Amino acid sequence: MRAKILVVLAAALALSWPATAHAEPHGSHTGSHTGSHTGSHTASHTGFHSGSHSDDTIRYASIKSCPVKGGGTRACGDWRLVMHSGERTTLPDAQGVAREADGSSNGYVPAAIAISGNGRRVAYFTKKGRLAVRTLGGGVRQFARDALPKAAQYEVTLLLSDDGARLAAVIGGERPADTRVFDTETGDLLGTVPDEVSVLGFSGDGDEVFTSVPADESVTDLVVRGLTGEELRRATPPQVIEANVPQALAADGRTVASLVTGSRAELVTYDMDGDQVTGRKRVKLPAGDLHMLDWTGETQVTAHLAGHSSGATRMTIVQIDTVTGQVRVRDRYTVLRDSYVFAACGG
Amino acid sequence: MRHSSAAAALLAPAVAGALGLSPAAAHAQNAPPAARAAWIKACYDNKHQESLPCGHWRLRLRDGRDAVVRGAAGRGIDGKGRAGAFAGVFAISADGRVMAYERAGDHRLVVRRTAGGPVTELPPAARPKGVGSDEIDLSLSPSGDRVLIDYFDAPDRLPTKVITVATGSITALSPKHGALGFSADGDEVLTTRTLSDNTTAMYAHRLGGGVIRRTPPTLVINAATHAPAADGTTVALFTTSEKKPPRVRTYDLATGRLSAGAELPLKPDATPYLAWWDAGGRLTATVRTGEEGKTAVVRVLTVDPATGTATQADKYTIGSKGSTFVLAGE
Repeated sequence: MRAKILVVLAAALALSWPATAHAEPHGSHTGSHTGSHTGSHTASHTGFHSGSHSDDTIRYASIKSCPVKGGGTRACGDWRLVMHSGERTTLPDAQGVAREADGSSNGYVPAAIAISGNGRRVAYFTKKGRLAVRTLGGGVRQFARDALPKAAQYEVTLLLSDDGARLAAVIGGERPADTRVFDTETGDLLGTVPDEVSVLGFSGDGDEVFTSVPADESVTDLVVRGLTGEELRRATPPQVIEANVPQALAADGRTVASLVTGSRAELVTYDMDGDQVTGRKRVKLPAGDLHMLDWTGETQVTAHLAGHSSGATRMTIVQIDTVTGQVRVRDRYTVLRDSYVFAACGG
Repeated sequence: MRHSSAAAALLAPAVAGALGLSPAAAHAQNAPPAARAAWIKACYDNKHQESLPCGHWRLRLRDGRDAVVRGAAGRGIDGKGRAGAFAGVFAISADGRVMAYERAGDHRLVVRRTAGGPVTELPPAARPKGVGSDEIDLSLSPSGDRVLIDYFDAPDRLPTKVITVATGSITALSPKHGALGFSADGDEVLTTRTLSDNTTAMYAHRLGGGVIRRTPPTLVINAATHAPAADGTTVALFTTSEKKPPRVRTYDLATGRLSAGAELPLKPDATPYLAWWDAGGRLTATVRTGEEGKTAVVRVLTVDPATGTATQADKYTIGSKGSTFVLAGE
């Protein structure tokens, strides 16, 4: 199963707040899933340095939630990685709680992180403030000191392609800057995307950047760009694509998928070149809000559905055949209850 | 906020009969001018420590004069019948000939010609129990023969009502629909509704029965202003862009055809916010400038939806010192 996922594509992921984050006092549920398992992880846990664990991949990253005096919670500690095997480890060289643009600690919110769709790569800020991508069973690629403009680490959104070969760094906040697209093997800057453009992710094979931008007459255009940032294709999609987010771009760089959730769930595909809805398949989905959607095969998309039960985030990952509408559950898990925020792998 | 259109009333035929309006309007022997708008001034209220509508609603007539509407409640009431800190309900038809308001004293919703004459009471159901004046969104068909009432109740339970003024007959629309307005002849109401696939469908309800429905392109739904024509299926749209002038297009609900349309000779921020087809089949749009609470410059334009050519039919200013106003057609 993992092999299949490796072959395929799709990526993207954003930080997500678990249901638990602010709802319940942490530490009160130690049940089967979790426990506040922090600080004690050692390198011996990790799959990073050990060939024998090379088949294991990252399910998601999580950072612990700590109470704030006077109420509320904040992120604390290091980023933790939860593997598909269930093993847990920390990313020892990754910045957990974000630093401001001037290097001081924010104290509350975490620094950006991203997991590739195949679960083999993780992008983050090092404790020294450098952008880095780590490969399971491989090394760490540190990016140039000036890879990103000065920005607080929580103002940056990191997006990896499904195979982790490409990284997009979106710089938001009060002084947004153009999105930078990198090759994660070499750390080279491949191109930039203007800051007024929303970066939705990479195409299934990671060869295009999928974006959207406000257009004339109050509509939003979908725009496919090359890795250098140049516009390859643009379309104003029909309502059913525009209204059901997130959309995902296939490896062909022109087919877009949207998933309608709810009681009448449908997988909708749209061809940007022909400006045509090419398929609407009724699908049976498990409960949950659509969290991520990625193309993971020529006729397959993978959806992350996040449900909330008794204060925890329950993730169900399904593979949907875009031709038959058949749905297969690939994975299910409960996000660590003590999470302040988590970032799932895509795909 | 309220506004309305003053427009096309020039062609309206002479109305017989005396005004029956206040002394502010000197009686003319010939046809009284149509109303461009209605307004009510604001006074500082020491008890509430804020500016509240005070005095009477006044019509702003085409000839620039004001006419006091004594029968209309200046201040509305809340759901419990207490005086509210907001103006009473007031609306004027696009042709400027008919007004609807809540009557002073009993707050019953009524309709009357702006030139005066008999008052027609709307059925009591027009104002369900417990609904405050600030929860009523009332508009008239372009010639004032029908009234559309939407209620700002939460959760949205009260059906939107369409009332034929002459007969008092009521057509209820599902509260799941949001009304965009009457067709030119008042025989259809255009609505939208969000569907389970998160798209918004557009409906033309024929009040005699029957409905045409289509899920249009996003551009049609996101247009700033919609004006259904008398045929009940053609909808004129005014769209806005950040850096380009507003554009006029037509969309046919029956066929799904969207015209290429044309840009209007206006600045990007001059969005037509009221539009209707007049009795002669001409598309009319109202553009308003000026910030909220300040004097507004209102321009009424006749627009060719194919070429974007616009001719100014009227221009006036209204509203100052925190006064509340409503334009014809609003």
